[in-house]
Amino acid sequence: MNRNAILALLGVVLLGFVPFVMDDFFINLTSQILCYALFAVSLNLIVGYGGMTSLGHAAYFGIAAYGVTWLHTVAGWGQLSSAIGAVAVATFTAAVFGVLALRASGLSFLMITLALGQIVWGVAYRWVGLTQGDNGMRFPVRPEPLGFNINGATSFYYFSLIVFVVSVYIIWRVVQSPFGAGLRGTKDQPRRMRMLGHNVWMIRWVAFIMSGFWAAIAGLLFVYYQKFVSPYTVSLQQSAEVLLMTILGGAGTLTGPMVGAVIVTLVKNVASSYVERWNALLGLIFVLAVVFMPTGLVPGFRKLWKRRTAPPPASTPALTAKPSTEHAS
Amino acid sequence: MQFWLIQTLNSIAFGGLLFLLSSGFSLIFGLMRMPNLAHGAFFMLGAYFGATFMNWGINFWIAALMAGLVVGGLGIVLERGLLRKLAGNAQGQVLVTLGVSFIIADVCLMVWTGDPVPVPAPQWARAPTFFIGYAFPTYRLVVLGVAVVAAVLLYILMERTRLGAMIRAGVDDMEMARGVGIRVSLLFMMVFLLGAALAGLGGTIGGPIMQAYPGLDQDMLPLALVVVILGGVGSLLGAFVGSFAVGFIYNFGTALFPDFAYVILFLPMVAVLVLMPQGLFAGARQ
Amino acid sequence: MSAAALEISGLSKSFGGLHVTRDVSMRVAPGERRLIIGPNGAGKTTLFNQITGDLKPDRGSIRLFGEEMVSLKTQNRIAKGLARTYQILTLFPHDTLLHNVVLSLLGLRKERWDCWRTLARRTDLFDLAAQALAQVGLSEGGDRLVGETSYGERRRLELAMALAQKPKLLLLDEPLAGLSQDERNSVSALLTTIPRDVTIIMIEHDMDVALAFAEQITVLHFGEVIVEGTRAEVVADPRTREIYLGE
Repeated sequence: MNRNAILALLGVVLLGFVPFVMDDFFINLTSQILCYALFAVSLNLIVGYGGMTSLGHAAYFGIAAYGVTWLHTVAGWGQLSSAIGAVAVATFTAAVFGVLALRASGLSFLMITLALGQIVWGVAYRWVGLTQGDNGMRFPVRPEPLGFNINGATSFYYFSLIVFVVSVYIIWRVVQSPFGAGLRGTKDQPRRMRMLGHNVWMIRWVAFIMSGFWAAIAGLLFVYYQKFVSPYTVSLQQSAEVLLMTILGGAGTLTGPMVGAVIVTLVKNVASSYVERWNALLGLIFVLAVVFMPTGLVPGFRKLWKRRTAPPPASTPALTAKPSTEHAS
Repeated sequence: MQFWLIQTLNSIAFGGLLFLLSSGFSLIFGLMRMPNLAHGAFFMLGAYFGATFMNWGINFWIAALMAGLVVGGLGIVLERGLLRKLAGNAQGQVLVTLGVSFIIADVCLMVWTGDPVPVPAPQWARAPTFFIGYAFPTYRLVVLGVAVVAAVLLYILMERTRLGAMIRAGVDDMEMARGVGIRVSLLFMMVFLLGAALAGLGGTIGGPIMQAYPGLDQDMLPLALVVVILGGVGSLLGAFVGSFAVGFIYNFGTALFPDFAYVILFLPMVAVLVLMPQGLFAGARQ
Repeated sequence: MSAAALEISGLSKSFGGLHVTRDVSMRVAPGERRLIIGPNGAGKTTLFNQITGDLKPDRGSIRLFGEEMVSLKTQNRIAKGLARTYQILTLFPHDTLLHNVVLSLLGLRKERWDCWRTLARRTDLFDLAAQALAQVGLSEGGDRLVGETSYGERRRLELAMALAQKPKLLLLDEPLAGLSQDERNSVSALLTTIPRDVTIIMIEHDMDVALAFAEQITVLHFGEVIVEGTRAEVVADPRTREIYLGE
């Protein structure tokens, strides 16, 4: 067992103790953070590892939230089948949008994802017959997974924690796998990757779909927590917020987006009790983060840490002894 | 018949408005290789400023020019103050413009509140114009006139002046432009000033049709994106054609299928992406 | 007669009015060492780019061991046994030398779609990568990041990545570019150790090394094949002199 695995286990254990030391307000806040952290980790799969910056990621998150609500309350499906159906629809949308967005790369990719995300927003906002427009939709009752009641703050927290840990573990495996190595390769040198026999387009598309799938899982958590979904959930602000989490914490690291989610969610909650609106602050953090911390907090601190612990950079063998573990922590 | 005629005129007028918005967006994208995501916010600011200036009793046209200048000045501040620090990091620049757009939107909400602010049209343009037996809203014709004048002036600027030649050189090949001694940093500033000012002017001109309201920025930005995706990056002609195409699609879409206006708007974009994978983006060089 | 390793016929490509490849035809026998020379802008790298599929030719055919390649995507050509090194190094600078070679190995393996097993634990792949590195004289220090290595080592890594795939046809685009004289000698010695079941086409400006290495030479000028033949024929041909010594 290596150092990272031990740290990860320690983190999960600590998170498990949260309900014992905090009141319901903070337990709920932590549930919310877990949901956004999973959302940000899902986005990081394409932004951090694949080098594809998307400004439309709220689409899949929101489609899952709307989908499960519509299927359950309007179509009358059961909880489990609604959840599966919603994730399937969101993932399928990601597959279709991925085909369109991957016609381009770089900033054109960003523009197309933004435009596609706005279509989803337009449907949520304007197609009142389907989505109830600006009023949003209620999701009346949380499901009872395996017969457990998750209505209380603590039980819902543990539910979120289990979903979060399992999801992040799977994503981590993907990042460490040969496919993950290929994905990172396409970020730096797409042309070379092709020249080595890799199907760059397919790698990116698969990553895009995976990313949409995990965003959809986060979207389920979101609607179970809020019991409400509105066009804001699929808005450009929501997409920007999750991108900010990813970049602020450090894209391309597993912990970065989580740290970003913690900070952004805390600031948002604290700020909303003092100021009426959060958008200006979101914008300001965005500008500051991009200008002063282009690589994000986690890589920044790691660099500082290395500088403190390692003497002059004449030799840096220990840190790179194992191939490609540096992406893990 | 009246319906179709009026909707056609509305579409053309809206297309003209989109041209004011997206010509600058397209030039900035073409030259600086980045979509300025604050462009919708610039347009909204222009509408709010125009309304405020007119409230002070300033004449419509002067108010529109002033709004253009103020927003243009803001564009310079954004370019000089922030984007320049991130030279070479196009993605960072885009994210900064997005952050700035959120800040502008929130400040507008604080200053002008959440209620829509009407922007009055000039007195003489409020009565309808009668032509071959039909009544046409005069102001839409005015908007079209402004767009055409702007297009002609931009064309002259781009094709007949030194500045225009330098901009074209920069859009075509930045390294080459640098190589022949063009001061690229000055060029960036000029194009940002021009683009932002056009958006601000467009905001006031569009005000009597659309009003100034929170969210106007996010209604307009995707339209500019679609125009540029259709018309190509950095091309004035592309922006012109794309604007009127989008004007028609959006206007008729809203009139005929209000629930799906947004989806219909993006369909041609999807078609272009599927049919011409590189075609329309070829100029951007990413 | 067995199929040629590479058979190009009637290949043409132009950008706007600029003809970068004009009706190029050439035939390279299996196991051959072929050198392509020509002044800057002769269209040598452009020719490579069309063979690999980075560029789509306007006309013509490219056959690899008898099989038509023109409509195949790059990655599918690689799967048929083509490999290439670049004149301008294109490596993965934030990864280790071993990891670079492993990416190359994965390119030809189904496991590249494996989303579950940890790559770092695939000792079989890393052992193969270490062998490929040893083959180019980099048996030590394969766990260093590419960013920390010298230019000469990176050139060798380029070669290792191509050789690891055990290609049937190897395209070398100026494998000696930017190397010191000592390094040139050792890398060119390395090239001679590549087994004969690999056919090699090389672009190189260092005439001493290149002429010693090549059996057949093709001279390109303005996208056109001007002279082709054995070393002696090409050197003796007045048109070669004309191109190199100026008209």
